[in-house]
Amino acid sequence: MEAKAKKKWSKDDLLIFFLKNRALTLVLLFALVLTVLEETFLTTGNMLSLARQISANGIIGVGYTLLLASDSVDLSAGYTMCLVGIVSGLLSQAGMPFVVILIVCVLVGVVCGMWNSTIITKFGLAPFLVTLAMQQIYKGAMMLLCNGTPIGNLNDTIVFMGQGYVGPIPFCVILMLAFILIGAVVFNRTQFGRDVIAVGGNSEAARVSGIDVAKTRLKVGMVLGFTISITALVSCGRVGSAQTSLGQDTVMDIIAAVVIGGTPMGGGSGTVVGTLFGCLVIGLISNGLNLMGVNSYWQMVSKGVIILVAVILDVYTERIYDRMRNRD
Amino acid sequence: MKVFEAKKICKNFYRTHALTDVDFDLEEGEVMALAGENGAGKSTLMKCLLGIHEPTSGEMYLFGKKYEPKSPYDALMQGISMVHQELCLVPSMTVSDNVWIGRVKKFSKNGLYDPELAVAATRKLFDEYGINVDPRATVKTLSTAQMQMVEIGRAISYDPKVIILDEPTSALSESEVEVLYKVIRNMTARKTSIIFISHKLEEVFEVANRVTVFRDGHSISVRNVESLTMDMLINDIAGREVGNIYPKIDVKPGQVELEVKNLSKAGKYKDISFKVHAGEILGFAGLVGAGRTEIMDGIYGIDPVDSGEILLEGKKVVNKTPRHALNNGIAMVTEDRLRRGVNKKMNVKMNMTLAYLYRICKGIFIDMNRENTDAENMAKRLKVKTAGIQMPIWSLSGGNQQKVMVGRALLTDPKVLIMDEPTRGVDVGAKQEIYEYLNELAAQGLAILLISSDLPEVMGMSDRMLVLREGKIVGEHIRNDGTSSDKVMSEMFGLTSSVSEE
Repeated sequence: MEAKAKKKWSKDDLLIFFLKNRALTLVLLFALVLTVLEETFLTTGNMLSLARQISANGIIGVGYTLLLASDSVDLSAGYTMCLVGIVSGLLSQAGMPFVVILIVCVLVGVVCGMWNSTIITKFGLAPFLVTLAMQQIYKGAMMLLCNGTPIGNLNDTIVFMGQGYVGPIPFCVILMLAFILIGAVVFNRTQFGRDVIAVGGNSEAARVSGIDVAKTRLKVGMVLGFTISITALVSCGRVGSAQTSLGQDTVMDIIAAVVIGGTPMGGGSGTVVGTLFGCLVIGLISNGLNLMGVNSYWQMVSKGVIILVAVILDVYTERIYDRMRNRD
Repeated sequence: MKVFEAKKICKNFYRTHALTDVDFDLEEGEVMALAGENGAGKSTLMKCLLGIHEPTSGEMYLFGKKYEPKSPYDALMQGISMVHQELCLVPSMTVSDNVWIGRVKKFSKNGLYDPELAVAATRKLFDEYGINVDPRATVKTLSTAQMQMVEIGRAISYDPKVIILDEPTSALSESEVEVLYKVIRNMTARKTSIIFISHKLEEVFEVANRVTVFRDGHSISVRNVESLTMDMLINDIAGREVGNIYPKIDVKPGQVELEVKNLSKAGKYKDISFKVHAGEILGFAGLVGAGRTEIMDGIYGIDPVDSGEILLEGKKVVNKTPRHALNNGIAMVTEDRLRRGVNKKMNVKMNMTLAYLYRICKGIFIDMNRENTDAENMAKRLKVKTAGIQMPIWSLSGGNQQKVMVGRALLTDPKVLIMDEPTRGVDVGAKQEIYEYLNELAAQGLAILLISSDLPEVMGMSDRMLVLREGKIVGEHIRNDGTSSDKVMSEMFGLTSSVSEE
């Protein structure tokens, strides 16, 4: 038995290296395959369009990484995004200046995030249940606001956020990189970031060490709300209108991206930069399949499979860690 | 006839020896009591019997045949059944459904379950053993004692050869205990053997034929109850050799550092008052559930007190959360390292700096250099054995994880340090090192509150010791005042027999 266990060491090490850097590995793998198969893949145009595609997910991904790292989840993120989008549309129609739109939209997102966390911590409920209910509320509120019809003619600055360029680089890509950078610094270098993983890893130990668990969760909800608002503006700006279908796939994609990126479902650790690579993986799947002319319904199927694999890998990582823990 | 026999059982958890060369045997139809302090090895042996743990070495025999259970279910099928201290019933189901849980097939006709058959079988079983509970009642409407009976009924329903009862009386009133005794006698009359674990020593005399005493993972004695006195039993449990393994250095106590007055919490503790001086180690002895941890939780703000005053250096403080306590200069190393201490996903450094991090922030940013140096120095000072402070915490042994927890508390630079079971699950070497820290910290003028279920330890390391029972202080002893561990034991157990009068 013991001899067997010793043999497995090196194998585990390799596996853990792969599992820890799985997003990077997948990105390289996909990129390599696509470069070989599709000559249009490695063109500047396609690279920029790929970057634009993932920018929205990259922004919300920062908030969502913090959320998952704190051992929580938010199913209502997509509809919150949609609600913010509709609000921005209505305010544009009313001719409000961009600053007002920005402030109101950020407020809407932050308040939604606050509510979610507050209800979860006050009543000690499962985040997935609370946000499942909340998403219906946000969806209803959104439909009530716009009467079920999309709103066009968005404020010019919002359109710029989605479509504009700074030099040769799309503005939304710059925005995303800024969010990732700030997010990574906050996550790794501040007390708040440390509190988040402490709460996610062992909330009881965190509390006993003097960390205010409820407050930390509240802050995470607010940060998530903020990133949702900005993502909503970028996404609406890109299509030039506030759609009622905005954000339908967001939760799915974003959880997949964050988990593939290396932040576990159970919380306790996380990586913002990993999330960027996770977004790249999701983006590459769509981009690659598009280039290869695969039917969009097949794209859904393959995305689902990838996400499933990512979650299985996530659990598997934990199991390997557990096995190593028990061996000690 | 021997029903069960264990020979030279050893069980090691990494470097901890939970059981060493334990011999144990059980006759048909007898009640064998297990006695010993918490962590003496009783439950480890039971877990070996149930197939939860595999013994590191040694052999077990059931009816003379080699016995190697793979799981509690396997043990059950081979005739060993356990009634756990925590009830595990399904509250929403009826009594009879709970008794026959997982065995619905037995009462099925043509593949359809007939609850009436199960009810009839339950009634028959209960009547046979004198259990008086309505089989049709829903479990959640029952009293705790009745639930206990249902649990026992379920254990019997497997027709086991051996039933293990783990503290079955802890939630029962006196009259309910009588009913339990009757059921036990009915079981032994039917040649079922019973292993009875209890902290109430009187019960051993009441119900057992023999008693095996455990201490520090050894089986100390096996005695017939007929020729047993309470003194003998307590001596066996406590052990005689208290002293030189505890390298306590005398420190001249300074001013009063912490004083608490009339601390109370409903259902937990009442009117607790004591003082701790700088440089003094104040020990707390008592059984699990006596309120020691609860009082510390109150002082440290994990579970704030209902009433009473906490004075730190003469100034009144209110600790509603651990943050308040830390800011006021009180730090605590908690008892339950897994649940309340270690963050398994963090590395050694992050675990160590968790509580004091806010002190080294520049603006919102953590001073990473300072964090690294402080953690590095603390790891050196506490002799944490690790390949580096960046290593994951789970790569450390229990003793070294505990050192990290001590480091976490010390980095907050406390005036008062609460140590709740600091040596539990810690190997001998690390234990000695922790004792040395205690000495060193006391010499530096820290006031230390030491809680331990290891009586020789708390007697050996404290300048002064308080004994708690049922949420009240029932004794106070000064180190080397000639108090015997027997006397302390009898205070802990609440005996008013001749022992305590000596």
